[in-house]
Amino acid sequence: MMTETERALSVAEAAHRAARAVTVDPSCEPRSAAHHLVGAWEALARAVCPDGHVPEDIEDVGGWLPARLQAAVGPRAVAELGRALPALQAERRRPAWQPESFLLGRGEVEAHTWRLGQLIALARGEATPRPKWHRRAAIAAAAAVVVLLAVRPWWTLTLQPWRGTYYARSDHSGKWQIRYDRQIDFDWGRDAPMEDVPADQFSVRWDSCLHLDAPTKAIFQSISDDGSRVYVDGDLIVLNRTRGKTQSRGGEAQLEAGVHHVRVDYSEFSGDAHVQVLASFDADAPPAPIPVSMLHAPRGPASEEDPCE
Amino acid sequence: MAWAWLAAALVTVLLTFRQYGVTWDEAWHLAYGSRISQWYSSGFTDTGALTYRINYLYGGGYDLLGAIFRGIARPMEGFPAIHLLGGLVGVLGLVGTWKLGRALAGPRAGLLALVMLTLHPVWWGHMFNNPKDSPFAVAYAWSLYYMVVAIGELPRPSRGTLAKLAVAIGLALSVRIAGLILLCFLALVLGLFVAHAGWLRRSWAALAAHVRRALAIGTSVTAGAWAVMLIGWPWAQLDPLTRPFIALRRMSSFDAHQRKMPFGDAYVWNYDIGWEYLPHYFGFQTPELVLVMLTIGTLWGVAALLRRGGRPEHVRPALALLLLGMAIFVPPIYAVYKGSPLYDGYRHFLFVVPPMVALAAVTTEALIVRLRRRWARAAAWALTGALLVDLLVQSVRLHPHQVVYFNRLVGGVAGAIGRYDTDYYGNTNPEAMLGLQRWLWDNERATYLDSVYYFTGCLSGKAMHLHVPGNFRSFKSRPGEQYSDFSVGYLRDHCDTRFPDAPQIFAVERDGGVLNVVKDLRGRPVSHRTEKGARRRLPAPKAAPRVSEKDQEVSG
Repeated sequence: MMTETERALSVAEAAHRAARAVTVDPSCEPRSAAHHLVGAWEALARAVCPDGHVPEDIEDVGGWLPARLQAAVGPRAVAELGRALPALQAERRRPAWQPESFLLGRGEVEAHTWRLGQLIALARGEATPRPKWHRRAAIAAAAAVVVLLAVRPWWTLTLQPWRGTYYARSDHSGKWQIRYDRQIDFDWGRDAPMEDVPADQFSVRWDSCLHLDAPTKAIFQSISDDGSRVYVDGDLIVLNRTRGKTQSRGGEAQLEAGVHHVRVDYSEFSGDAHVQVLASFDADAPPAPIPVSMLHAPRGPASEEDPCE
Repeated sequence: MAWAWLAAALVTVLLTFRQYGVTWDEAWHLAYGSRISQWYSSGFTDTGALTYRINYLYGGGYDLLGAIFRGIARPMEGFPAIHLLGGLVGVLGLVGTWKLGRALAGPRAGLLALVMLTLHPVWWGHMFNNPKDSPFAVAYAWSLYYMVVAIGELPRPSRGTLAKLAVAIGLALSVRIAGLILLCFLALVLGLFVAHAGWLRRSWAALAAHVRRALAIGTSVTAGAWAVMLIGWPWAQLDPLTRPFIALRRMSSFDAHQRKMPFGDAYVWNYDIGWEYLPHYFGFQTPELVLVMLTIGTLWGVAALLRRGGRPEHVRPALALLLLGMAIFVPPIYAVYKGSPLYDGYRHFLFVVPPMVALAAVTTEALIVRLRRRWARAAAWALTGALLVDLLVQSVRLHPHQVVYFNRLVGGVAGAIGRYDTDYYGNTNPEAMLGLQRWLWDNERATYLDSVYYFTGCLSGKAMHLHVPGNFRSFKSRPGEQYSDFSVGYLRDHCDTRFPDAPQIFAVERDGGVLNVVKDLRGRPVSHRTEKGARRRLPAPKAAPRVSEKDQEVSG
């Protein structure tokens, strides 16, 4: 059984549908929608005014429309609706034989019809209030943050675990620059690794601190062109001497639980340059990039022999 | 619930995007995106994008987006970054299809469309590493959605709807000029609506007013879409009214890739195929539930259009239904009519999958709600759910090679191998390489650490470096004579049958079908380890000299 309010809202919706059909039809005069629009307004007023206290004159929309609905559509929309309503009522009252100009343009009638439809839907409880621009902006910003977090993981913004000292000579001497790298896996080809470092005749020394929770037999592998060496706590574990071709060398180290200083020295003389250092802490698994969670960058000065202490 | 499903899909993308292989086209698209980016950053003086391979004939909207995304995602490497972007864009396609289903038949149909498309293995598999067909399909789905919304608002769609429609069509055009078909659909829909309105009013003045309105809508959407398209297409910017049509003409008779491929029981050239090519692939690579519901929905839709399409109160739903039908059937039928060269299954027609799924979802929902008994409805929903779970299980089993999915009508993957193209994109190569690494570690650990292994195969050595360590290198980088230690071969071009008598040490298998094999070439002479010797068999071992009867007698 429909209540009085529901019945009035149904009438308002039907009148609004008729008004919209006329408004959007390019072959119809916009003024012909006035009758339906005013009918929809009257029905809406009957539906939303408590206990049938329907105002005699509905022109003052701000005066009788419940505050909830006004807040939902916004004060500007309420003001614009109130401005157009007298012209619509005048058109409705006008006898058909009496020529009189209609004050509203097609665009204004369309906008009025659209806003009234929104109001009726809100009264029915079917529509959600139009989010304010700052709410939309906040949602868009939140989505952007999620995407950025996904594509630019936090680790890219923090210190990388390998401290790379890049030398402009092949023997780890002379002018140097420091850069922090996430892992040692570079294929520079014939390019220079960074500005102010030549494409040939350069060297890099990477230092990092390796954390082990238990005594472990670690296997290190270095694949490079040209040569490279891997040291753990100052002991040479991998010696990969090569010049002009890719070579892989490996070595094992029995390490105690605790923090160990890992150093990789790489030298490039000429031609292609690439280097990759891998490790395995589980005999069943082939060497793979060392997990970042097991490493931290040394905090001591670059010249220190054991910067992990 | 749909949002929860989408969130789960997004999490799955984030967790798995690194597991998908690098496909053939990706390196070119990455380079094209960088060149378009340089076109802008150099102030239009770096003209590399204007002549780049055949890519300049394609809009590079997605490639440009990829270049920007790679910049944001640095230090993530190019291929993983583009795979992540592909996954995110694919999820956007899921959202578009969900909204399309909702706009057609309400929230339940929308949710069903979302779930069906997510579980469509071919769609999911293409999301990550198909830089052309997948983004085009996403833009196509959104264009259809906004077109359905615009149909609902006819004869006066809101400016917002038209702007969104223009952007969606523009994005589709900026990936493939074939998106022009969307503008044709729009023109047809507007034309039919105007004709219907004119017929209803029986007035030339009314008809003229509607024609003016339709022209304004069509022109504004086309202009907006064209502008969006040009952003990512430097070559077309230099002559925006002519060059896109030149590209369309070239693409319609695209014959750059001539290859033989299995089809049924034959091995055919891709430019010499019959009308049955696409129906076969759509029939065998579409999940059974979608296939059945699509068939019912098509028949039902045609009947509904014939019975009620002309009624004034049904004109908008009828137009939406007609649009959906055209979006599904017109492109493949046109390709068959034109005799276009086709290959790689229905990869180039991936864009019809979202509307297919939407129609299947709408049909499923409509059939179930028509059941009178409550228990019957519950049983029907349960059956649908069970079929979807079965699809999920199949998809998980195939992961990350969902693109090789074939339904049970052809006997699954195993039934399709040898008869149809399966892993045409080489997605199985990384798994094969990892299998090789594992095999060497398990069997030759003593020498593994100090060895560099050279491999050959139908794959990109550089792309493989993403998946295996640097001691696995392409034979092309071997100093001196170029020969290989191992062969990695997927099924296309009989790559798996190269080095025919070399021992197989690893195989990538899914659902009983072998998709990729790794062979150890090290026991063969060098001449049988080069590319020239890839098809040579080793000479048969000399048989022991037969002892004649006479000799036997002498010795005996």
